[in-house]
Amino acid sequence: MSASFIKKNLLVGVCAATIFSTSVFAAESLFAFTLGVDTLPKGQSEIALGMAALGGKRSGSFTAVTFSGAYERGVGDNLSLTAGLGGFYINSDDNAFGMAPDASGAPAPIIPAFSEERLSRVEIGVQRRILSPYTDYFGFAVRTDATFEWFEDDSANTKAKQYGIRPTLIFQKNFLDDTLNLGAVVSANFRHGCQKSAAPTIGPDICRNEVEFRPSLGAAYRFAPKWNIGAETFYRKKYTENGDSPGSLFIGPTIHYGDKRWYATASMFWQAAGSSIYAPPMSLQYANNLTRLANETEFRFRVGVNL
Amino acid sequence: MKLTRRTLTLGMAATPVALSSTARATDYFSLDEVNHQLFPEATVFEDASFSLSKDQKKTVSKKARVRVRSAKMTLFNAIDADKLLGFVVIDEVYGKHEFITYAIALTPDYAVNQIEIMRYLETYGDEIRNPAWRAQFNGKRAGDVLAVKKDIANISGATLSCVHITEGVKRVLTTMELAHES
Repeated sequence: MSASFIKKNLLVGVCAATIFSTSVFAAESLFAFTLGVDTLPKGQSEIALGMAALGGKRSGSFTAVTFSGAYERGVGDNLSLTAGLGGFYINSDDNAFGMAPDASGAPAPIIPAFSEERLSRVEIGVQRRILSPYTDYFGFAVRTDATFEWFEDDSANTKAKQYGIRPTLIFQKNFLDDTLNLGAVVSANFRHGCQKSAAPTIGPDICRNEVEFRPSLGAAYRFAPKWNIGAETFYRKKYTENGDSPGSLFIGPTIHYGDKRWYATASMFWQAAGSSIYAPPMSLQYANNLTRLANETEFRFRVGVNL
Repeated sequence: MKLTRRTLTLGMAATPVALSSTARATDYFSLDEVNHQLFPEATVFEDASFSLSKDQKKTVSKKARVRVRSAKMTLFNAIDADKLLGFVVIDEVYGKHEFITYAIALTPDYAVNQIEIMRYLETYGDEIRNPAWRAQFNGKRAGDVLAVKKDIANISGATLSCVHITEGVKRVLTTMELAHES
C-alpha cells in the first residue's frame, strides 16, 4: 500500500468527516450536534461560522480542522432554510497513522509530510417545527439537508464527488421555566460518491453507497443570564455495501453564550468507546472503508450573529 | 479552492465584535416613567413591596400552576389625594437569554388594567410590546385561564416571551389575591 494511496484516503476521510460531523446551520443552538427545534422567525436571518479540531491520532503529528459557514433565514412561521459551505485544513508530518507492519513484516509506511486546506462542500437545508417546547408537551421538528462535496488530490491524481441527503428528527423538552433544556436528535446521512482517476492515469470509477447514523443527546442549564452549561453525547456508526464500520461514542461538556446580537457555543468531546480504541489497525480500515476518521477527541466551536 | 487559516480565524473573530456594536436600545421605561405611564393622575407612588413566605410561595405555585422563582414582590400603591387608584407591580420573567422586566397596573379590586414592557434584551420577540397583544390582559383576574393559545393569543417568533409574560401575570394576580385574603 503506497504512501500516496494512504494520503489520498486520509484526505478523503477527513473530507467525508466534514460532512458527517458537521451540520450546517446558523440558528442558535446550545449544543454542537443536538439542534434545537426552533426555527428563525419569518423574515429574520442569521449567519454562523463553525470549526472542529479533530485530534487524538495514535502517532506522529496530525492536525485536522474542518470549518463551515452558513446562512439561515426564516421563511415561514415554523420554517427555516439554510445554505452553507464547508472545508477542511489538514496537516500531517511523519505520520504512520497507526498502521501496523504488514504480513511480510515490513514496517508501516510513513506518509510524507503534507498540508492541505480546501473548500470542499456546499449544503442546503430546511427545518420545519411541528411542536413547540413552550406551548406543547415537548418540541419536535424535522429537518433535511442535502450536500454536494468535491475533492481533488493532485498528488494521487484523483477526483471524487459525493452527494448526500440527511433527514433529521429533533426532539426538545424544557423544564424550570425553559432554563433546563433537554434535546435528542436522530439523523441518517445517505451518501453516494464516486472517485475517478484523472489523466494521464485513467482508471475505472470507484463508486459506493453508505449511510451513517448519528443519534445525539444533550442537556444544558442556564446558570446565569446569557450563559448555559451542559453535556452532550453522540454516537456515529456507518454502514456501507462492504459492511458496517465500528461505531464511536463521544461525550463531553458544552458551554454556550447568547446575547441579543450574537452567540457562541464551544464543545469538547472525548471518545468514550468505539473504533479507534478497539478497532484493528487502521490500514485495513482505510483499505475497506475510505471515509473512516477515527479521531479520539473533537473540539467544536461555532459563532453566529443575527442580521 | 484554497482558503487560508488566517482568513478564517480573522473572520470568525471579527464578525461578532463588529455586529455587537450595533445592538439596539432595549430599555423602554424607568420605574418612575412606567408608574406615571400606568397611573398618570397619581401624585404618590407608595412602596408597598413585600416578600412571600415559603408556604405562600408553595400556595401561589400550586394555585397558579407556575414556578415562583422569587419571593420578593415589588409593589407600589398609586395614590391621588388619599384615594387609592390602583397598584403597580414590577416583575421579571425569563427571556431566552436574559430577564424580561415588565409592569402590571392593577385596579383596586385586583384586575389587570394595563401592562407595559420595561426592558427587553432578546434577539427576537419584542412584538410583545404590541399594544393589541398587551391589551388581551386587561380585565384579567386571578381565576382566569391565562394561557397562551387559550385566552391569550401567541405571537409567532415570540412564543417563549408570550408564555413567560402570561405565566408571570397569572403568578402576580394569584399572589395579590393571596395577599389580599391574608
